[in-house]
Amino acid sequence: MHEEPTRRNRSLPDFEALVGGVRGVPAADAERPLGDRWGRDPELVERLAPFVDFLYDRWFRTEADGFENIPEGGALLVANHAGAFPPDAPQIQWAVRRHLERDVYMMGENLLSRVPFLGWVFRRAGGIEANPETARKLLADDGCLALVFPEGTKGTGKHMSQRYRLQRFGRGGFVRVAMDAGVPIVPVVVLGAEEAMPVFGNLDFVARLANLPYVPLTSLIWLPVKFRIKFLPPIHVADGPTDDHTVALYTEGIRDAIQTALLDLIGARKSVVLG
Amino acid sequence: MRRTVVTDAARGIGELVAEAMRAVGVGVHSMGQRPSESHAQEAEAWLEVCREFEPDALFVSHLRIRGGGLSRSAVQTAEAIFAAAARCPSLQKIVLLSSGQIYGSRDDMPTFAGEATPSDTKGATARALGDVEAAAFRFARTRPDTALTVLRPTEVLGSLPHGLLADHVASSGAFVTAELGFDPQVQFMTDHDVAVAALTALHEHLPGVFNLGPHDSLPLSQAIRLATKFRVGVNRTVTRAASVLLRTDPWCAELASLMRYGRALDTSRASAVGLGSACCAADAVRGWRDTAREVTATVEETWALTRQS
Repeated sequence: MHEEPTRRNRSLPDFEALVGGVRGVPAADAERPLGDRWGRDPELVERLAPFVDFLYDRWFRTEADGFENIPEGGALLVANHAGAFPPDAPQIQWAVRRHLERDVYMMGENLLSRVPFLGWVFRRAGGIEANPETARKLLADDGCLALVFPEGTKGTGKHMSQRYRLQRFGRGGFVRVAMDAGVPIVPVVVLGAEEAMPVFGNLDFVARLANLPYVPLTSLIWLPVKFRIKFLPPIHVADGPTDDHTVALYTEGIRDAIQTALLDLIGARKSVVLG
Repeated sequence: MRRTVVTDAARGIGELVAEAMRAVGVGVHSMGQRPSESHAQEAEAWLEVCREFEPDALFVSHLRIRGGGLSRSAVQTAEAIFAAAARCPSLQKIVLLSSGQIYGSRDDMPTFAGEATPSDTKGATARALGDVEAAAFRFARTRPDTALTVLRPTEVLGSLPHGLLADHVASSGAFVTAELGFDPQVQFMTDHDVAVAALTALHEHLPGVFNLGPHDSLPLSQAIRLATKFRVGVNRTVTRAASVLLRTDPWCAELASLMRYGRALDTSRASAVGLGSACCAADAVRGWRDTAREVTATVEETWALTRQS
C-alpha cells in the first residue's frame, strides 16, 4: 500500500481515447468563487473596512513600526494576547494590510467555529482554526502570513492585575510549525489591548456551566486607549536542530523578546489614553 | 487492461467508467449487489465471476453514500469482493471508490484534510467506509503483486450524488436547509471528474490512497446559490423537534456536523500523479446545475412533443 505511485503508462496512445468519453463536461465558467480557498471573503473585508479604519485611526489611534522585519513569502507572526474580547488581531491585520498590502490569516481557537455567526465572521475576515497541518500548508505552500497568539485564552482571560505579564507560550507548537514549514518567526508586540477591555473578574461557575474558557466581568465596549504595534526582527528557526530542547529554548527566547520589548514600550508611554 | 469487472456499472460513476472502457474495446463485466445473499454466497458468486471472466482489473464503485449514509449490504458486498479477489490470480489492479466522508467533520480537523488525517471513529458512515477500506488493505497485504488504488472523493454531484451533503443539496427542491449561524467551507466535484480519475487509476500503476476534489473550497451558502436554490437557515434543535412532529427524516449526525464545520480535502498528492480535478468547486456546482437543466429541458421537450402528437 505504501509503494510510491508512478506515471509509467501515461504516454500510452489509448489513454486519451479512454478518458475522452467522459472529459470536458463540466462548465468552464471564468467566474471565480467568492473568497479564497481558506474562506476569507475580500468583499466582506472591504465592507468592514470603514469600521476597522475608524477603530485603527480614530478610536485606538494605532501606531505601528518594524514592517521591514516582515519577510517576503511565508512568515509566522507571534504576538502577545490580552483583553476580554481582544481587538489586537484586527489591528495587526490592518497594520500589515495598510503598509505592505498583504493579508494576514489569524489562527484562532477551535471554540470560535462552534459559535453561531461569530465563527462565520471570524472565517470570512481571515480567521482559521489553529491546526499544525493547516498552518504548515498556509505558510509553506501558499507563502502567506499567519498570526498566532501562543498565550491563547490564558492571555485573554487573565485579571487586570496581571496585565503585561505574558502567560506561558504552551509547549512551543508554533515553533515546530515554523520549523516544519521552513519559515521565520516574527515576534509582534502589542501595547494597549490589556486596557482596551480589561478583565476585572471571572465568573468561573458560569464558564463551567457554559463550557467556555472564561466569562469575564469587563467593560461593555472597547475603551479608547492608544495602541502601539511593533514587529521585532525575524527569528530563523528552520535552520537548526528540531529536538524538544531546542524548541523549548526558542519558545522561551521568543516569549522573553516580546516581554522585554513590551516593558520598553510601557516605559516610554506617558498616558494610557494619549500614548 | 483487457478485461475489467465494474460493480454497479448500470448507473452513476460505474456507468461512466464502463461506457468509456467499452468504447475503446475493453471487456467489461458488470455485477451489482446481491443483498439477499449471505456473505459466503456473495463471495462465491464473485469468485465464479473471477474464474469465468479472468479480469485483470476491478473497479469497486457501488459504495454510494446517500442521505441515509452507506448501506450495510454495500459494505458486505465490498468485503465479499475482496475475499474473492484474493483468490483471483489474473487480477493486477483494483480501484476502490471510497469517500472523503471517512474523515468525518469536526472542529479540530485541518482546513484541508490530507490522506494521513485520522478517520472519524464516531460517524456510522465513516466507520462503514473504514470497514471496507480495512478489507481492501487486508487484500493488499495478501496480494502485494496487485496494485490497490483507494480513491476518496469529496462530495460528488452528478446523475447520482455521492456524499451526504451532495445528496442533501441535490435532492432538496428549491429550498435547501442549512444550520442557522453557520456557513462552512465545503467542496464539490462532478461525477465526470471522479470517472476520469478512476479511469486514470485503472490505466496506470498508482497504488495508494488519494483524496479527490478541487484545489479550493467555497462557502455552503454560495454552493447553494450557484445551484440556483435558496438556503433556509434553521436551528438544529428546532429541526430535530420538527422532524419528530412532522415524521420526516432529520439530518443524520454526520450531515449535521458537515453543516456546521464543513470539510475540504487536500488533493495535492492526487494532483501530483495526474488524478487532480479539472475544475474548481464552483465550476463543479455550475456544471451539475447546467447538466440538470439540460436534462430537465430534454424531459420538457419530450413531454411537449408527446402532447402535440
